[in-house]
Amino acid sequence: MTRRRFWIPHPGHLEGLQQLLAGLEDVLDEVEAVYTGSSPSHVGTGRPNLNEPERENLEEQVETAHSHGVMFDVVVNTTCPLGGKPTRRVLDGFQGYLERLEKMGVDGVIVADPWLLRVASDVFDRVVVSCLAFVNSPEKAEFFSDHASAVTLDTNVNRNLDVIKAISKVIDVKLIVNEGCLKDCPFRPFHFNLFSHMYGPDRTTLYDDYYYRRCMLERVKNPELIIKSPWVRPEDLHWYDKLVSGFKIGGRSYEIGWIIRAVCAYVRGEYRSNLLDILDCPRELRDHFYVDNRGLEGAMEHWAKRCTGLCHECGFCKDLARKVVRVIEPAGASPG
Amino acid sequence: MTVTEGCAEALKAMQEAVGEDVMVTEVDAFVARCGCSGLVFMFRGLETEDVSDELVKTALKAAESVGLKPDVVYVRTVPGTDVVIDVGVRELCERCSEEFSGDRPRPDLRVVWRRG
Ligand SMILES: [Zn+2]
Repeated sequence: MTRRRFWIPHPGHLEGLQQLLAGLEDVLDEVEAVYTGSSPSHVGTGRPNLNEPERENLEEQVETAHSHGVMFDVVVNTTCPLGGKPTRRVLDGFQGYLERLEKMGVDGVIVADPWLLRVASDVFDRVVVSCLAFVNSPEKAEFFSDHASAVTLDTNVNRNLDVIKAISKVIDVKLIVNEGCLKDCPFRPFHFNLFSHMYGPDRTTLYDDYYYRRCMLERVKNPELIIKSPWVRPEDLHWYDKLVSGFKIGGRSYEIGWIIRAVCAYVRGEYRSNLLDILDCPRELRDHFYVDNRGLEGAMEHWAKRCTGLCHECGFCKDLARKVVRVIEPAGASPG
Repeated sequence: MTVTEGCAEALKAMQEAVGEDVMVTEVDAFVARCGCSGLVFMFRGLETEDVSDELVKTALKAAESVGLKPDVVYVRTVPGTDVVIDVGVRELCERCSEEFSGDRPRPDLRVVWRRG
């Protein structure tokens, strides 16, 4: 079997990294790198940032990862780096930040914006295009191939092996495996744009998030969407072994215990419980639904060989949802 | 004792424990969809270094008085700062007890007490 390389989330604090590496001791040989969010004081990213990396001994974190033979990457995948000021000067500010990261020993960065990508490639050799650049064809991959060392695929093509094969001929490909977002999600670019502002220098204060609520609601109304989400089960990674150079596990805003569970499932290629436990999806979703992972055995065969993407003519995912998605009865404390 | 009476008593006890420079603005009782349950104390003016043994003891006592069997007491901060948003006393469901491992399960969460 090909030796798999995993790219795993890290919430960004030193104690967390130590606990993560200790908890994954048995599988570290297959961990290529950890990745964590960039400093919100400088630049936003596509996920909630629950810390301020500059307060968290970043240099010591990098050393800790390296001492375990693991690379340390920083995600700088804001979808709005220019913040309405489209000048070279704004980009120069990012260059200074990236140079500081490089001096601290950071191995690489993950970038979505094509202009920021060019700046990053002057500083780092290891520059991976974020899934938020939505690379979904070899033509699109070509645009990035001069400056990037790899692309993270648009997860919407996760189950289209022909497209992945074609892209992999242009550039190294990384695949996000535990994708919990909706397929063809209408909210995705807008939601990540909101995150880029909320968790960036603007520090937008927000107590409600329309896209998050709708993302949940659509699936409560229509559970087959859970099956259509472009996740890949741990058991099905072998379909991709010859196509991609690395498997990325999402979840950098989760607790360390969650991350260890998800990484172990993917590295071992097996998970026997609720698939939603290891997907990077709204927490409320796994409190509401149980998706028996064992019941999904064989589905990848259909998606890889027969899925046309024309759902209204097919019904495969709808039937599968009826078989494997179960609503969980509310638990909670029993009254006195 | 009703839920509100229990929370009101907890609020009073906590306010006495933290003194006049810190405000306890709210005490909430919760049941989460996952199966966790607990009390949450919300603060203004509390920082992580102010979280004393007495504060933790007061939180535990309040939780027990409303029938909870606490597994953890944790502090949630404003991301990237030492400013405390709230302190939770929680009876954990099976899945969350796995995820709540370690002293700092997430950058903004610090476990300050755990059932021995
Ligand atoms: Zn729970």
